[in-house]
Amino acid sequence: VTRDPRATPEPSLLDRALEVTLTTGVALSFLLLLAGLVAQQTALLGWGMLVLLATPLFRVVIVTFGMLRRRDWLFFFLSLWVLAVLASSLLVAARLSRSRAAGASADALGRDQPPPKGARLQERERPGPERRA
Amino acid sequence: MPEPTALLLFTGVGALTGLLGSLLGIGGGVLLVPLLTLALGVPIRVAVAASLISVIATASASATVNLGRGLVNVRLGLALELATSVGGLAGGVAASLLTARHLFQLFAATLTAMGVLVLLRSGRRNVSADPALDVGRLGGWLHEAGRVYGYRVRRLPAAFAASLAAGAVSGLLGIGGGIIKVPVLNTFCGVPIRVAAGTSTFMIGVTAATSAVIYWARGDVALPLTAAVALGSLPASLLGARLSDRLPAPLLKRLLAALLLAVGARMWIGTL
Repeated sequence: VTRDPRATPEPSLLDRALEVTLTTGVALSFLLLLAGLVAQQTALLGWGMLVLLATPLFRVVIVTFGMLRRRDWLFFFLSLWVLAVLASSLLVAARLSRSRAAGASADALGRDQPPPKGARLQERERPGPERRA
Repeated sequence: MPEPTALLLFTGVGALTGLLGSLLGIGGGVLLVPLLTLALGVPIRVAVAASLISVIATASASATVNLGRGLVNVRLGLALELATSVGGLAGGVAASLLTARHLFQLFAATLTAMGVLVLLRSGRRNVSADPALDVGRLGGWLHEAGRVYGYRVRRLPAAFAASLAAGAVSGLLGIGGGIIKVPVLNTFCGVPIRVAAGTSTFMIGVTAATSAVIYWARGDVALPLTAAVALGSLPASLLGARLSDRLPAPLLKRLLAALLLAVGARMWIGTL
């Protein structure tokens, strides 16, 4: 059934689904972050952040299904593109994480390896005398 | 873990910026980064990471309210997310190539330019009460005070360019990009200010998440500080989204312009 948006200010089924997804993500992350701070548990804080970071991703997944259900192919492919960019960002993050971990283990073993990109940047930003020390 | 008083201070800062961010549809990072760096001495990269995560909280919480009110144009948001997500990814990666001073200067220039733009074009009205108006695939209808107004989206290339820039700036500076999207969508593309703000907050979460994961992987997320800021911004942004309905549109525009210019000026002073 096609709704005429001029006739009623009622939100559509897709709007409702998005509202539920966002509310669940926000409420869950709020509880985890609060519990993590009160109990001073870093693991809970990490989970809270993870849920918060995943909420927009789930939101795009819901929009993708919504567009598929409406057979709105242009907007379905647009949302697939957004999902692909989010996936690329996760891949870049995973590569950065691996190179950081490799740099940390090389430091721990005392090997003479070139520092990771982030480390070079921090060095450049430090004031002169501290760098020489 | 930092001292409880420090955590409470960060929560208060998150609440203030979350309230203003959702009220104006700009996410709040534009105020949070200057407050954390200039007033509380947090390193800019840690502040940017905290801001990105807080912006996701603010945007997701206020989007729940805006969706219920029909203030989110999902199609327009989705179309523009094409550009913002690519910009966000590029900005997040490019952030490691710039020095802290360059980031401050870029921030100040962006704020000043957008403040002037909003101020110059704050008197324009974008909606039409004509029920026969053809709103096109991306336009929509706004229900306000018992009346229905239609709007068309004009100058789509400008909206795409602004969204790409907003995404890049978001990744570089830890802001949602709403300070670029809301003024451009409203003043150039004919989208009413409330819909521009609602659609912007709807998109901001995705843009910020694209770059936040890169900051996380780089080890820039300080968990207790970021959690305290996000905890403050979550309930405050819900309040801000509810309040925005009660303020007249011209006042919202002037408030946005004043805020952008004031924070921009403070950032310029910080770079001297």
